[in-house]
Amino acid sequence: MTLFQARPQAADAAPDAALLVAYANGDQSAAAELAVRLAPLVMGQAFRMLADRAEAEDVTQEALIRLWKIAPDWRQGEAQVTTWLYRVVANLCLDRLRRRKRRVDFDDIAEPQDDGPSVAERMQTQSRLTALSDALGAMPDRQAQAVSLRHLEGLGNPEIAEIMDISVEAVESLTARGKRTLTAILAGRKAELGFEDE
Amino acid sequence: MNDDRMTQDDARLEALFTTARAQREVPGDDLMARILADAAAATAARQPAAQPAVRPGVLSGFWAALGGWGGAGGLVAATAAGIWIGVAPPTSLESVTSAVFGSSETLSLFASDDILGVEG
Repeated sequence: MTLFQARPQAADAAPDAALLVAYANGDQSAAAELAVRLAPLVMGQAFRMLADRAEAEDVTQEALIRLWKIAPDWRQGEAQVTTWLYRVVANLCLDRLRRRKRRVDFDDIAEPQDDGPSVAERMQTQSRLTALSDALGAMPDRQAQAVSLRHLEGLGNPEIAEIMDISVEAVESLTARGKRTLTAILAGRKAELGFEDE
Repeated sequence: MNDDRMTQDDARLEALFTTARAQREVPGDDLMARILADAAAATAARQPAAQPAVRPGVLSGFWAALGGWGGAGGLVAATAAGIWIGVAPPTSLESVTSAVFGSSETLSLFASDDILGVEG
């Protein structure tokens, strides 16, 4: 259990951008509030893409360092902080997946350390997460970004279009091509992923 | 057949996506502490570095009174021009001098052999 769980934001809470401006003016409590709000979102996105907690933590810290540095230049009303963060985190994760592709064997799947009763299920889950993560790293960047934002983060196409700075039609096209690419990459790993041919 | 295959592939992909979406990793306390330390460090890095107080010396005051490098350069140029004019005055300047002061005349108020004025 951690002190820093994501928590619902009160209706009268200050917008993220206002807190960012307050932080840029020296208010450290604004930074603390932003960290409590945003770090869980960033961590979740990074873990879903990387399937590795340590790497997801590194990405979370790096993404927020970039946020602190850009704070003095942040212009309210131009973009939402979360939109900016989705883009930064996706790019940081894809950079890591590219490096991982060269460093780690494609079939190397981490196994859980304990041997509790749900070990088979956990191994299956970890296998699927790692396979999906590796496949994202093997895809063209823009396809991987669109697929992860649409299907791992559950965002709508207009929001993805804003994050990727492209049209909604381009998002639809990238997502459709991305899914075909994913299917092709994962075709040889069905048994390993628990997908037996019917 | 192809439609069945596509449907099956879509279903498998959706099962993968569902597994991924169910993951809810949250940052631990150590990570949050590092994030807040980063925020404080970024704030500190934005503060302008304190300039050491320097007392202006006598020479620097004199230099400033001259107008710095610009003033000193003008002063040197004017001095050189004055010396040059004194050593080798141009002819046009000599005629100006004559026009203003006229030609010099020598007037003797005393007879040269009666210095004490005893001859009346």
